[in-house]
Amino acid sequence: MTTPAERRLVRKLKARSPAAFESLMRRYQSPIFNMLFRMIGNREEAEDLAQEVFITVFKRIDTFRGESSLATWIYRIASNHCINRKKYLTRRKHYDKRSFDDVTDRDQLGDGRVGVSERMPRPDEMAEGLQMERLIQEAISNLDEDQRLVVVLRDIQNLTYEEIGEITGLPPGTVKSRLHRARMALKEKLAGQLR
Amino acid sequence: MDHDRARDLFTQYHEEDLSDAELAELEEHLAECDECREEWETYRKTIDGVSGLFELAAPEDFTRSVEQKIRKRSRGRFFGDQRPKSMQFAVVSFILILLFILAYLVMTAATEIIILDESQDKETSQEATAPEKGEAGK
Repeated sequence: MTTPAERRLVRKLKARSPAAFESLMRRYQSPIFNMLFRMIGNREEAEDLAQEVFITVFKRIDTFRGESSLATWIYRIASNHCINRKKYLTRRKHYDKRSFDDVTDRDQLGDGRVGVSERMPRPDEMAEGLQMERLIQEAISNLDEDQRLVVVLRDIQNLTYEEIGEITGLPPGTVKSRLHRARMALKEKLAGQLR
Repeated sequence: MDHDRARDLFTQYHEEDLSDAELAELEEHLAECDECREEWETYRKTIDGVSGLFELAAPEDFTRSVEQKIRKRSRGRFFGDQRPKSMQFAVVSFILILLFILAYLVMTAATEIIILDESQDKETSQEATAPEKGEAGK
């Protein structure tokens, strides 16, 4: 499942090469951070969790056998961390709806935002875009844990059904049906609010 | 095709994962049914909205923070020396140059001392031989 280049990288990672680890982080840190932010809805939590994901990768790289791609293996670690953190936060009752407001904070998006339109949006457009961003993020955050993970991996991270199956351990058919239910639930939550 | 069946196919329709027969049947239904067409439009806008969310990049110091945590937890076993290789090279080069200069100065000083000693010896031996010559002249 892994490419020759990836196998070389894994060999170096298993030898604990700092340069290989830096290269791995440069490649995956933003996708993993973005995925965790969309799952958790809080920038600080997502950053802390993303750091823990890469620490786990560093510690457990010896257990990577190359049966899946390195990317799906890292995503699996990230989704496990995410599930555990959510459980922990729910137990501690630390996590609340305020975290959704993070996404409307201009500074939170700040320089960390990529892929924006080259045209500078007008203030009203920006405000509207941020409001829409907040609504969608809130709708995602209110999905069931399982549905949220599938939507984030498919519609935000653009992974294939097969990759999502490897990450979640679900058969492709279950991934498809779960994605459908998740999207329909989102549609119900956002109906009338989308332009 | 009934409404429920049509809506069940939305995800496959969006993913272009329908058979030709299902595709034709669904599109025919959507062309005739205002309610399902409206539902489909909302569905499509929802997925577009989710896919169009801002893509956030990790903070700039992310790699450094992870390495620092690993170094701390491994008690310096990994990522112990945070100085870049170029800086390490510069430090080593600077020390070598200093040693070279020091060695050069020591050698130069030693040579000067030897020359000085030799010239002093010469002067002493000249002084010693001069009276002998005088006495011989008498």
